[in-house]
Amino acid sequence: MDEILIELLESFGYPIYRQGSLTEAYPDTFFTFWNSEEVEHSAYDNNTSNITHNFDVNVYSTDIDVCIGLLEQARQLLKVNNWIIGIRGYDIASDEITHVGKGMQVYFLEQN
Amino acid sequence: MARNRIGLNVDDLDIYLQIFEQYGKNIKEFTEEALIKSKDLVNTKLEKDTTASNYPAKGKYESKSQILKNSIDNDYSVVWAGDEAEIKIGYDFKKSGLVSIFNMYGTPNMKPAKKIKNDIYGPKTMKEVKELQNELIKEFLGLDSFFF
Repeated sequence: MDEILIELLESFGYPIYRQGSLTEAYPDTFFTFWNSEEVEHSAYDNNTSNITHNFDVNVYSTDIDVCIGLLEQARQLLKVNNWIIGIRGYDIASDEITHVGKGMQVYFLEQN
Repeated sequence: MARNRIGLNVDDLDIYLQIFEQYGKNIKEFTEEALIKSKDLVNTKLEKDTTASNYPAKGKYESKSQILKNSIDNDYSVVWAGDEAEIKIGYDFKKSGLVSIFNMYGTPNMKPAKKIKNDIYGPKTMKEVKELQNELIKEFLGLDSFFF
């Protein structure tokens, strides 16, 4: 599921990192993500039927308008691709004073 | 309901509500008791797990002042909105400041603190809270555990 999320976010043309993995200077604008959990919900005939994939998706930018706008665009793109928006937005902390960050929590229900 | 809140999540609540009415029991009293005990369950986990070993980089960059541990929310007020009630869980942002946000969500340079995040938001905690509330309602109503 990480790959599917990355592919969708890549369409915006900004770098994408797993949260905590950025070791170089911050780009001006970029995404991070974190897979919080994958939960199995039901099973049939010894096979898992439903899995919920839970992700944090974050945008960091030197420009607050870009940050907010990009998160909104990402939200819309994910919705169109059947992702569920759990929490649509919150402020998140940045290591660098030059950047602001906003995040959202998204889910994907995988049905087998 | 906001993410850092717990509400009542009992199986077959609609049936229980009829029993509350028939037996003349106070649903508000039960709800508040259940939410307070649910918060106790979460706070017990946070007390145990808010330690440097569960922070990113094993707490290497944490101050010694135990800001996060001292900001575990201890306000047990139950807030009602109409017929629905909720109680806050997690850390008190006024005391923790950015420390709780750094740990819950991480930063591009720092992974989220998974253990303490799961203590508040994880499916295991939510399941334990639900199981607790399901037991509490049976106790409150004096029902046999095999009633349902």
